[in-house]
Amino acid sequence: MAIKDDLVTGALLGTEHQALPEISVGGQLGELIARLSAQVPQLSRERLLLQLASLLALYQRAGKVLPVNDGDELSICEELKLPSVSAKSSRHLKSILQDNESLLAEWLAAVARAKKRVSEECLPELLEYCLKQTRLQELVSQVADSRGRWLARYNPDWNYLLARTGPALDLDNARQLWETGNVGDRCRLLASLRVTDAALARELVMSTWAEDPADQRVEFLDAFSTGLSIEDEDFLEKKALDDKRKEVRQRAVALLARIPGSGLSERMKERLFSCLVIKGMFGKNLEVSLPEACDKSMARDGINPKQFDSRMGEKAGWLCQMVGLVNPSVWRERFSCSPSELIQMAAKTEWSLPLLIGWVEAARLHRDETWVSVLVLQTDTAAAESLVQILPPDRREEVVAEYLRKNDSWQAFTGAKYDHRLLSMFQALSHTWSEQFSRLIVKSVDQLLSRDKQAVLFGAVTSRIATSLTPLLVDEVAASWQRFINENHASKSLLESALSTLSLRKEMHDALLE
Amino acid sequence: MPSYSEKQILALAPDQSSQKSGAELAAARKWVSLGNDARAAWGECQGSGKLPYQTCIDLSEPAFKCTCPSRKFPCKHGLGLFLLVAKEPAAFAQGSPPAWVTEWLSGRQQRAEKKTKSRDDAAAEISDRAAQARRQAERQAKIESGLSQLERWLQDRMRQGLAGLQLQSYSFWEEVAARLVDAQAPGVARLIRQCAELASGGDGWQERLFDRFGQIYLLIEAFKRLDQLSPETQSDVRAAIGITVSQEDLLKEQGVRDLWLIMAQRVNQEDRLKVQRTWLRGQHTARWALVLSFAHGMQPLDVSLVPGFTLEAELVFFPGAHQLRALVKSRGNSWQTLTDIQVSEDSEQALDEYSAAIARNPWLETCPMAINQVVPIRDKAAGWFLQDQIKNLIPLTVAGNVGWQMMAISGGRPLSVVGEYDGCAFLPLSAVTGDQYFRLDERG
Repeated sequence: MAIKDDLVTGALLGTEHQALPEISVGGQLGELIARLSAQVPQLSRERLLLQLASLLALYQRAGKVLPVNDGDELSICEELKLPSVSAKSSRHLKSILQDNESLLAEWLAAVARAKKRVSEECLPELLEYCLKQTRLQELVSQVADSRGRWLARYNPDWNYLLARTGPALDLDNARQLWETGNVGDRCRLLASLRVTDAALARELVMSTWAEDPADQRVEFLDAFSTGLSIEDEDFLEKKALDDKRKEVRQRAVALLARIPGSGLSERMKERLFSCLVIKGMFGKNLEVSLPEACDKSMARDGINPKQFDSRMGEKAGWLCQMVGLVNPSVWRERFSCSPSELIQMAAKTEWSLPLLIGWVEAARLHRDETWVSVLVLQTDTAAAESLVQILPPDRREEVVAEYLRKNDSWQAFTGAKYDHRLLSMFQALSHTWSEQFSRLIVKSVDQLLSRDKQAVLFGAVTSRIATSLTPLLVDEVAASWQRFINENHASKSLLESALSTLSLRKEMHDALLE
Repeated sequence: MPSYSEKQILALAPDQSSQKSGAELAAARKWVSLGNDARAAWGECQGSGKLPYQTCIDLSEPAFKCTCPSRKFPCKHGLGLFLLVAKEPAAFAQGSPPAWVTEWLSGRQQRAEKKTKSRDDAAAEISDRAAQARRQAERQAKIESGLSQLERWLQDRMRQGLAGLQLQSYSFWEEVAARLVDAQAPGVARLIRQCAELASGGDGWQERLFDRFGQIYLLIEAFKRLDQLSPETQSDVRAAIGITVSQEDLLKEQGVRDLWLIMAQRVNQEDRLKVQRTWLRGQHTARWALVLSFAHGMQPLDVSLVPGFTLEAELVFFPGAHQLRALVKSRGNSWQTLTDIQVSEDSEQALDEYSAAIARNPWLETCPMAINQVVPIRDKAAGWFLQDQIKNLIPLTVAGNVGWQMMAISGGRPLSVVGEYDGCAFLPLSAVTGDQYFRLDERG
């Protein structure tokens, strides 16, 4: 409004510095202004200005004209396919997002299992929260339904939903996205293509390899774990293995070592076979000879000639690195003996430490479940926690249960006996436990607490039980723990807080089944 | 039985630790006995004492009673029991209350009756009418002198120019406001205090401050000739200055009975004072009402008006030319979910109603507004809007992710939105689509 702008400018400078602007406007407003102005000079200029201010502010508020949309119309979201969760479940989600974040993955998985969707009003908060929770994004895209994808078209931050659930890309679109997308887009494209068309994914990476910065090359190679095959060897061996950046070379080595029959894995096996030999007609003995030198070809294949480890010498370090790359399953064929026999033979040699550390690395790299269980249960390797994480949930439970039986380590839960390995493995049991395993743990905790009224469980133990125990047992556990609580057991407050998490989880699951 | 959400119940807790311990007691296994009827819920909870604590809630208010020695109110037992009512109604045995519950309930009833009676007595006892008139005249004189000082101050600002005000500190405005508080004009003090924010609010501050000075000046002029104005406008001027009306007297008047739809609610934090604004609309009378609830510090806010529900009630309106603010005089217990709202068809109709309202009371700060068939849209540069049926764009003030929430609810399809309009932008508070009511919450 032009007159008002003039008046505001006038007021900004002040009447002592500048005369009031001339106002000429027609209609009723003009008449009103004329009537007010006619009172001057009885009315001071300042008061006139204030009166005009009150008049025009109201005039403007009362006569507001809205802009009209002459641009694009909003698209309409396609029909929602899944039924929404109940209002009660939405309340659970809100309270989880506000102060029980550790339960989010479980809740989302339960919603997906129940074939339901998150109610629409909760989507923005959930999508925003999961921006940084990459491991939850897959689950979120399952329960966000068409409404989530529709929203993501308007909020680019949320397009992690699009890449996962969007229609399969045709070749041209894939190429275009690869050439023009940002790192996140490209990594997501690569991840989904490695599942459906690993060759195309490799071809795309190769098409821009020379121009891509080293950081991105590292991320691209990470995607190769999926759909890895001998067809990837040529690229990895010829391009990536000689890269300038160390991280790129290391990833190429790990990938090539995992491809059965690749040049690198064969070369490494040959080198190692000459170092490890079994001799003796009756009692078998492992004879170890350390590599004499680390030549250029070994270094190219990923053995760091200068790697320092205070627990072993230089040559033992090379042996350790070599063992770590070779698939541990080859030893059964080579020596016709089981992993535990081999570990026992190694223990009698002077080089048992480098061999053991190497086998831990190898079990991890090749995700060999047999070796993982043997290493966890029969050696005292410190890497137990990261090893059990390799196993699928049911095997994980078996190994931990076996460990508990074998070492009788229950008292580690209260610190009456110190067992760091058990506690760290227990922390790795972050999935929802089977009923059988849940019962085992509950029973043992009951025994521990009944035996000693002063026993205080570790908080980490009770909170792991609270978040992982199967919700099927909540009522039973509540009944049995109530006894300890009533008799003022030393673990009372820990049990109470674990029970309240457990009942929240039960309520959460029940609400989804209604 | 009114249904309260867990969130509302937790809002009653005097502090964080009560919230937590209340939530822990919201488990059936913590209670020796549990029961309820249409009006009340009760339970016995084993604490550290020999006998279990007896806890009871009058659900119609809600009001609490517990035999535990805690000084907190409501105590954790009351909160836990209340949460349990909301969470697991099946855990409660239906039936007639035990003696200790009925005793308390009838005691409450008697006290309530006595209070109304003593209120009547007190009113009758104002014997010294002369003293009252004297006090009023004193206050009138104080306000007059405060406002005439303020008028001179405003004129000085206009003479010297507004340019320097942007850089003034908070205390500059506070000093002017404090003089108005002394002059017993707290409403005007608030208008001045808010200038600190207007002046430092970035682009367009000059015009906002200019408008505000105009608004205050209009109030000063109106007060000068109060006796020439209509009784309704006199009330509006007094309310804007901050002269309160006795709520007790007001409650004696005949109210408006209707089925009230509880359309929207929001809570403002003003220093240590929480102000809850609840917007209701009469189903038959088609009029809006604003019910305020105040709470200092950690005190709980009134939770008896639940947005998204309807309520049979008699409301008494504060006097004025455009009556909005009201008190609940009496209420029934009918609670139905709100699904259908009768509101403006488009922005033109809504803005016409707004213009008519400020024509009656030019000091109205915000007006309730509800518009049908709008689609929330976002312009990357200009922000959030509601587009109505005639493609007009209503600019929005959105806090947190409220814009995205509306968009998620709509999915590109039209919905009805309820909120407040201040002459410049619309603040959305709730949305209705099909048979669902959504409260738009800053936190999501």
